[in-house]
Amino acid sequence: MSVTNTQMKTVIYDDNIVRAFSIVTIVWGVIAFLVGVLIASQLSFWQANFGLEWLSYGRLRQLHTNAAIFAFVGNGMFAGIYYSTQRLLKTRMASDLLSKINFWGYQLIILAAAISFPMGWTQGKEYAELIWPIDLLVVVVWVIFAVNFFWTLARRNERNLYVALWFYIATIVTIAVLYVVNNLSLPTSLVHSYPIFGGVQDAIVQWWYGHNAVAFFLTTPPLGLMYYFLVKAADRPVYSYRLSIVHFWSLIFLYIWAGPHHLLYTSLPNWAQTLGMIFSIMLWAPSWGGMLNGLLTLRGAWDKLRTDPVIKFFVVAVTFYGMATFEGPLLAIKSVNALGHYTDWIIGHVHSGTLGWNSFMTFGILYWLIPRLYGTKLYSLKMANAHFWIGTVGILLYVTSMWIGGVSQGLFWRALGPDGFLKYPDFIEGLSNSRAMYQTRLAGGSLFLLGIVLMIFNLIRTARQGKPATVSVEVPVANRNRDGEGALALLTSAPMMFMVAIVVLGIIFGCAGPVISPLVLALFIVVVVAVIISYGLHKKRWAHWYGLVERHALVFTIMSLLAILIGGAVEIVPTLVASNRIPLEITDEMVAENPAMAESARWMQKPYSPLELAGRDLYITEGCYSCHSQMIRPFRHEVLRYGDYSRLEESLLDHPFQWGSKRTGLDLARVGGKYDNLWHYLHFMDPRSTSPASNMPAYSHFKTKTLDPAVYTGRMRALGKLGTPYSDEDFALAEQRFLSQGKLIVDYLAGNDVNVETNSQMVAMIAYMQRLGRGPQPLGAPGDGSALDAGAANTATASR
Amino acid sequence: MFREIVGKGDLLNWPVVGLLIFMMIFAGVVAFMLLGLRDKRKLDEIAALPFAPETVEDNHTEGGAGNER
Repeated sequence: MSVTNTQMKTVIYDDNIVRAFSIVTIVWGVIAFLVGVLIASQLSFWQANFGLEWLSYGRLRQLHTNAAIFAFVGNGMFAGIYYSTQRLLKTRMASDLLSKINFWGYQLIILAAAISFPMGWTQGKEYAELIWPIDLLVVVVWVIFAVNFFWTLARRNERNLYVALWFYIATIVTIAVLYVVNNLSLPTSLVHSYPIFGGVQDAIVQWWYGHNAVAFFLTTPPLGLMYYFLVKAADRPVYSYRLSIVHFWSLIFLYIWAGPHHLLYTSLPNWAQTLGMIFSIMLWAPSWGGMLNGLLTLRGAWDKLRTDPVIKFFVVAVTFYGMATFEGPLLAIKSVNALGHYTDWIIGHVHSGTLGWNSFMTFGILYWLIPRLYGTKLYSLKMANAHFWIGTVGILLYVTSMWIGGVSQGLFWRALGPDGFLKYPDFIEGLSNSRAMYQTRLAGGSLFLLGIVLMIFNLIRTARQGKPATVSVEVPVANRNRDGEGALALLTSAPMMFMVAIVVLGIIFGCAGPVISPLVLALFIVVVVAVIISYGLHKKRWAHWYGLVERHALVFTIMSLLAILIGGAVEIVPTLVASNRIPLEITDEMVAENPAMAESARWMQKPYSPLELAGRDLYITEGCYSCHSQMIRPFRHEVLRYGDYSRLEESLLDHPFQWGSKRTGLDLARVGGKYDNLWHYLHFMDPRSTSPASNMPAYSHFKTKTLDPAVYTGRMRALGKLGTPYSDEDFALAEQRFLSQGKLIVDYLAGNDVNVETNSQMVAMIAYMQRLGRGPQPLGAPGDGSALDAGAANTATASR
Repeated sequence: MFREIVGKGDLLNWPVVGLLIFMMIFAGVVAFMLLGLRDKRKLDEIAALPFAPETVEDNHTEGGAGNER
């Protein structure tokens, strides 16, 4: 940075970091979509699992989703943010070193994820599968990014914060909060941990995180990028800056509440479900406001749509944003969700968002960015246009096939005959009916990947015909913003005081009893009236105040943080507190004292035996939750197909919860006792032997791989610390019980000419399957597996 | 009815509180924008920030539209 005269200086932007992130965006994008095509093949043709455990669908699906979201979109987000932030603030990033640590640290995270998922190292929570050491690395890298970003904000040479930067700020603070809370866990080894939340608590925290990962990783950053790159490509300012302000505040305030719509008709308390549904529907307004703002920015520039592939990608991306954000609230309506949940409709929905909105937005940015980063023109417009059309057809094939398949599945599952019983009791028949749709999806995904190959060739040729460009800007020396100046005055200003008063009164109202509540409410109304009067009397002062807020990054960040914390706290805190009031163990004495507890006691989950716990951990390792739910909704057709509907008490000890979100296979909540041990053995070895139309991978490695019983004593102790009511005797006898319960299964299989080791993975998985939906199973006599009838493991009556 | 439902669970005040706070702030932001409190000239100035002039050095050609290849 050199001073050219007393008033002006030259700032050279750091575009090396933008080039680096752009390149890895493409590389990881290919890997993410290639794995996507592979797992789509596996769903169509089970042989594509190749009989290899590390290539099985359950493990690779985690790799696909994480690579698409965090590697492809994430790196694209960093590229766009580093490029636009410097230009909007008219300054170089505060620290090149921090930028580089951000880059290499993030690539290390992705590489670690790419290794750990095929290995089966996972936390078993959707989009939060990374194991705890990688989680720590994520936090470190994110903090480094945040420090660099906010440091740059503090050093800026432009007083005002453009709306794109607001979206970046919201992303940084919200992702930090979400990621830390959802990944709180107790490690048991370097590659394994148990989340501190269990059952319904884990469910609400997970989907508060899961949905807002969509909101604040897949939506707010691309929206910020839209407000920069779309207006640059269109060469005209955003249609309505006012609308963008309303868009921002309403979006971040509403989105954070919508998570429970992933748990409709589950054991989550009904009020939380309803709240999630209502706020999801309200999201229609800001989402469409943002979409219209984006599309209307092209007013007077629509002719570019014919010639400029960048505009084409952006227009389709924003249109898909509108479609996905229409479909999301639609699916959040309980009656619609009853049909769509667990089906491929949801898969179609999320891919219209990730392929249509996120990917096309990223492609548009890359096509706009790479020529400028290399000071040249795009190598081939025709090739870019071809990519656009191939990609668009690919997406349409993908989402329409999933819509058709999903709605068909929903109707098929719920169909009742004239006698009031299931019209199609055989689940696998529905899967067979979806096969053509799965193959169409595979074709769509392959076309999408083909388009990316064209883009790679085009962009490589573009870069090779130019050379890295150096871009600078002249800025007045004296114009540097002092972010801290006036921040205190701003925080203690009348509007801020009013806002704090409203929030504080709200909290007091929430805590107050029936006598105090009306008084607080009255005071609340007085404050609101005072706000209106103050606003009427001091319009200019209020306007000046908000102008200051926009210029003070610190105050703006605090307000954004408050906006997202309110929704999260209101939904999560009562669920945590309410669930904590339910004891994790209900004794006869407690029921005698309070007869109302009898119903809870009837359903209360009992701790898993060591062998069942081992099986459950394997279930998580293999990513079984990708295809199997453990949550029977209170519908007649589900009760008829799977058994009595699931109660909240039944999964309180599950760390993590495994309610699932998709049913490519059956719900397993009450599978225990439905089939005998031999059936499960045969099914794991070759699913086609018991279900000819199944597309499930074979898990023959369960037979050959063994487990160390000693490990599970430690894991039981960890769960004990989290509240599972294990006794000292349980810990002392854990290894013996592991083997004695296993012996029962081994003996049963031996009676059917099947030989397996007592400590094989197969035995643990069978024990877990037989436990699901039932109470404790016979453990056998320590050291003597023949003490109990082997068949008892299959026929024991539940004792809840 | 409402009192009965809320009265049965002390924690059920929280969603109502959240909803109230949300409505207040959302209504405030919308009113703030739609009543035209913000200076339009100032907003136009901020909206034009992405178009700040910059200098491209050491390049062959100016980046941008592609070749008709």
